[in-house]
Amino acid sequence: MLISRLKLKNWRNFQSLDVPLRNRTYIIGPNASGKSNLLDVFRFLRDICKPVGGGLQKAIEDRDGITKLRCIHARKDNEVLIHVSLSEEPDSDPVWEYALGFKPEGKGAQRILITQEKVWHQGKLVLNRPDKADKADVLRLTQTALEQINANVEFRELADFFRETSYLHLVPQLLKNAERISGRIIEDDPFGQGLLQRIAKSQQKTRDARLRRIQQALEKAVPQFSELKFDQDKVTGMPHLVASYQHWRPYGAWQRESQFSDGTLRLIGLLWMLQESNSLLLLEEPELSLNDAIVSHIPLMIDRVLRKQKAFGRQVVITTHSTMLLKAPIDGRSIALLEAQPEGTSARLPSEIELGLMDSGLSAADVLMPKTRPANIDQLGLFA
Amino acid sequence: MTAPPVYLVGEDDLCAALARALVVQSGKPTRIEQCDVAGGFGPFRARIPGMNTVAQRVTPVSMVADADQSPCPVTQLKEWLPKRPSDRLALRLAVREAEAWAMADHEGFAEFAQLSSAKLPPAPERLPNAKQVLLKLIERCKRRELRGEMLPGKHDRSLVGLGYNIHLKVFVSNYWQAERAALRAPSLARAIPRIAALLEHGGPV
Repeated sequence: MLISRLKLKNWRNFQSLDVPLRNRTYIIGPNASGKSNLLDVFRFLRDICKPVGGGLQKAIEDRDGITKLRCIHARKDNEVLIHVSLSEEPDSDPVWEYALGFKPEGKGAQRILITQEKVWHQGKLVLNRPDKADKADVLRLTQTALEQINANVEFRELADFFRETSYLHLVPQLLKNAERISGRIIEDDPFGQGLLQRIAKSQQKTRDARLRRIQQALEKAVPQFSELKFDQDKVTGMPHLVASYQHWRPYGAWQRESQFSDGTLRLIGLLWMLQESNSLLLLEEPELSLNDAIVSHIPLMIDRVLRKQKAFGRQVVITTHSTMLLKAPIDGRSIALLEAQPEGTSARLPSEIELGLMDSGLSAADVLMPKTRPANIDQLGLFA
Repeated sequence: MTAPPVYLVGEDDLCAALARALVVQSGKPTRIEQCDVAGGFGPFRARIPGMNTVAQRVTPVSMVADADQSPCPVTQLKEWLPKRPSDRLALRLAVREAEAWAMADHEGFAEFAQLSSAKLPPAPERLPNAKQVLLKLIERCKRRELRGEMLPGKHDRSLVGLGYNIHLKVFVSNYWQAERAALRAPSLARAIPRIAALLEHGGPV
């Protein structure tokens, strides 16, 4: 199952958005056009469905309240609305649809109340709030049916789907210096600080198989790389990754993750997350710290790992600034282009002309990347 | 003594791989200084004058591109070359498409794709669209990996799969033999002695 369509109203910098999605979707756009904000919708839905410490109110609070979350262009109509469709295949009729609208109550404590919550299963409306009970007891409108086990019986599948979403934006320095900064790991570990703990928690057999696949990829991508394995510190009990490199010492010295290069760590994180589950995966700029030659193979690498996992249909949404990545022969319809406009950002797929250009052999990088450049960049005097 | 260097430029990944294979298989002592992928017809053409200067001043240069739909590659070459081309610049065009050169080696391609060589086109340079023919062959080949990665997905609009170039590069470097392919590809047969001569008489000025 995949999210085949996303509609938003007043979500962060999108006053209104309607975009179809595919098994792989690449989101491109200038800086501050809202690529991460778009990914955040899926994390928001996940946060609502989390069994521990989840729920609508917490999800909003974690984003510093509704005033930060709502589009600043929302004036008359201040309802935030999220509408997602889930299908078995891209371009096919949705199996599930979920719509959630909310806004402050406009008086008193300014509680955030649900204005609408609807679920459709194969076109049939199975949940339609607010209902009679909601009207009798307004407090009920502070919680979604999606987050409540008793209320979501009929569409548990939907809640499970949202909850399983994973997100990765690995910041190598946080992982390398974990002990020195004794950093608190942020909930759900968006920055990969807890990657080692995740690896440690998996079953040994699975872990070895996954690390072996990662090692095979790294052998090709990282010069002199020879072996990768999991190791637990005998004194502190902390989990570590160790790798050996070929050099003049017959028994190469083992290096710990704190000595790995940024690019190596990001690749390990990416390859691990691809193997970890079969649910929606959000990748933030996977090209960072990587050599261009590797970046151009990222789309194929994602396909390869998923095919080996027998999870080829898994949905992966990727934000990117990389021309190299878009030089790969990607289906033009899997690219969403964000365009900043005075009334908030809009998103669109390539036009028929642009798709025609790609059909005749131009790459997505040739056709679409120039459109993500800010119009006045040459007059900015960036370095003046 | 180190072997004399040569500089290679290909219009795309496959052309660059072929340019490399032609040099490696020539049997002449040489060292590939650099092998660039121009990334399309436009950038390739734009590099010709610069590479001519390189050929005059620094190292011999071999450039390979697709002839595409041009009726006569010789006329096209003349149009592309600068007024006074260096003797050390070999600019070769694969008639119609580089894929034709690839498929011209029946034995190699049959082994690579695990299919019967009888299915391969007898005169690939006459095909109007060699790439489509190659994709059709891959569709029927026994190697699942190639079918999965070289062909576009079922509902995809892309022309080729994400692994198209990678696999063809592997094919050219590990299976393809220029001498065998030259039997069925006249434009390749003409290119081989020209590149051999370039490597023979090349070397620093």
